[in-house]
Amino acid sequence: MGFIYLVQEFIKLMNFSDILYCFLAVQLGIIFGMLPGLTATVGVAILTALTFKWDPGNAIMVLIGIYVGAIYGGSRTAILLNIPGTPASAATCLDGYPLSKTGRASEALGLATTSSFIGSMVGLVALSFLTPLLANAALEFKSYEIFWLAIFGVAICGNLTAAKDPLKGWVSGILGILLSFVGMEAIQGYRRFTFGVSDLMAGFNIIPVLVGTYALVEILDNLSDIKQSDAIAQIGKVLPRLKDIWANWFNIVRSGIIGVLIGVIPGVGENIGSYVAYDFAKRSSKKPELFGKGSIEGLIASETANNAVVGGALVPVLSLAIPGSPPAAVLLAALYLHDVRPGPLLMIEQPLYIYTFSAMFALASIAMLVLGLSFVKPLLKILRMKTTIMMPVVFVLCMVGTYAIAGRKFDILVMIGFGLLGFAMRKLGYPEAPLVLGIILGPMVDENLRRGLILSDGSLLPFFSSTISIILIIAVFFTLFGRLKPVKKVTTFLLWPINALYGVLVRKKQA
Amino acid sequence: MNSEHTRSAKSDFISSVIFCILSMVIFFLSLAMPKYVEWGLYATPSLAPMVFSIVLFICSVIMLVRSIVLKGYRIKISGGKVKDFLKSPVFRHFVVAFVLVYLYYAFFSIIHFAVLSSLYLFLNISYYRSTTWWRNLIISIGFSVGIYVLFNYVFFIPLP
Repeated sequence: MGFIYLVQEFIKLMNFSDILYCFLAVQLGIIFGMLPGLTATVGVAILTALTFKWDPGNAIMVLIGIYVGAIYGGSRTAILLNIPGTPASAATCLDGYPLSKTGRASEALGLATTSSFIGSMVGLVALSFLTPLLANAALEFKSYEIFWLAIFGVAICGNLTAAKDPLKGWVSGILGILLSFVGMEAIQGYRRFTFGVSDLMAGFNIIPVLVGTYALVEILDNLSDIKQSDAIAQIGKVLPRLKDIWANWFNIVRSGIIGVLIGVIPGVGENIGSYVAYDFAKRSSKKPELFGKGSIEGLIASETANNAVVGGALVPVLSLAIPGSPPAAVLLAALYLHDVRPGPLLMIEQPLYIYTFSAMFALASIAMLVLGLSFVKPLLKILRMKTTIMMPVVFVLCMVGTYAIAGRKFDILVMIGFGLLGFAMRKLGYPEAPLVLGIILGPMVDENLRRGLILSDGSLLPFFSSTISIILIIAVFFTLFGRLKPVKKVTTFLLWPINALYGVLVRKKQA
Repeated sequence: MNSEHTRSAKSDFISSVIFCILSMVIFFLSLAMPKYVEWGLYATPSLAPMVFSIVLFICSVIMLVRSIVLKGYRIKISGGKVKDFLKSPVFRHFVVAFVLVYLYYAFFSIIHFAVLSSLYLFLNISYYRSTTWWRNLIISIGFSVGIYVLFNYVFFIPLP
């Protein structure tokens, strides 16, 4: 039934204006993705401001188009210049650039484009069919479960975005949660930490926070530490490389699934997805020594996964109102601006919206494939633009985008403040993603904690008694303490039958 | 690798001290919030800030202890090092970039958007000597006027 709705909604998009908007948005997204320092998050944030007075359908289509295009677009500079246009393409540099250096740039671009499209299709399947399931399951969530879900989101985000030092990730997340408490709280209407500043009564608007934390940090970083880029490799025709794709079908399916699963995890994003898929591809490859030297498997894995993450990241956006990645966080804010209420009630209030959204995603993916294979050479001229010209131009766009949301100069100050904070955090080794996720999920944590306690007359027992709560508490526990030796020992002991079976299967495969 | 660990321990020492102080400030500010006893003490607006400030304090103390074990407290600030840092191109570029950003914000809605943006872009591009002065002028004015017209007359988003 879901498939029929999806096809119906897709057919509704088959008109000139929707297709034009989509193609233009994806092309703009590819440009944003190509340009180092501009990320999908920046693109979606700037266009959110630009389109907030538009018809909601067109606005959301444009934002999805920018998102899909930008995640793919980063592969171009990754392959041609060894500079990831977006963090999502960092793993693509490892094998894309060596391929380019050996005169196979066109082949690499063709593979990246086709893999990205297939990854998007895997993401589409997840978006269309997993979202209703998760939304229906989320209807069982009460205040207690939502509280633990928000805590888990921040914990796992901190763990995965600061893999070498998760403590810094958690500190970043807690700081974000504390910053979210600024303003008038939802239950008694008390103004917390406003210090008499009336502009702070509504707290920090998420768009200036996102633009500041992601865009302004990049601008300041790029303008402080100016790097020279290599000459761009010459390219011929970019073709889909179907033979290579067919030969790597298992790698593609695995990378797509990994991408979706990583995408569903709150706040983590495309760069983690591509690295994890790359790692899996390397471990299971018959020629692991080629990885890092121009392995087609590596390139396919990273590009499939990072685009699959896009679809996966949008699953919790629609079903739980929790972003699966930084650009998804901006998209979430944009949905609210356009009076769409994502979350479990979406299945009740607007049950077909998931399929409308998925259809837009499908159209954007098709546009990405068409534009990725056809409109390559002219766009490469944009890469010749100097960073020291591009960054100030982007800053002006950020200022306009931030100001346009509410017409408040205060939002610009918030953007600059968070830009400075993000810059300092980056230099000190603290990841920015948990900070932003903490700001988004903080109100959920606060309201559900207090609402739950009010409903239970102050008893903490309901927070620990439902099945979903227990599962989430176990997940939080392993996220926080899973790396400690005693916990690892206990886990290994409890899971030894599964480990033993896995060992037998691996030995059989190698034999 | 060793120098990287040492630098990291020193920066962790400083940041953990800052977070310890911050968490204590938030805790005491939360204590001062009204209690709304009629709702039950568990519903007080200070509950979540207090809980998370305590969690932040615990995390900061762990990081502080860890940095002390790695001798991160051995921070030697010599005049020469400070001078070198202040003279470094990275610091200079950052200061110029940030000052221009802040001035742009300060004069935003005081000076006309197109004029202010043209000035901002012109000064920025000039500082980095990215292109010739006349190309700089064309880019700065052309872009600023273009954005002003686009937002004001096409997207109907008024700019100052």
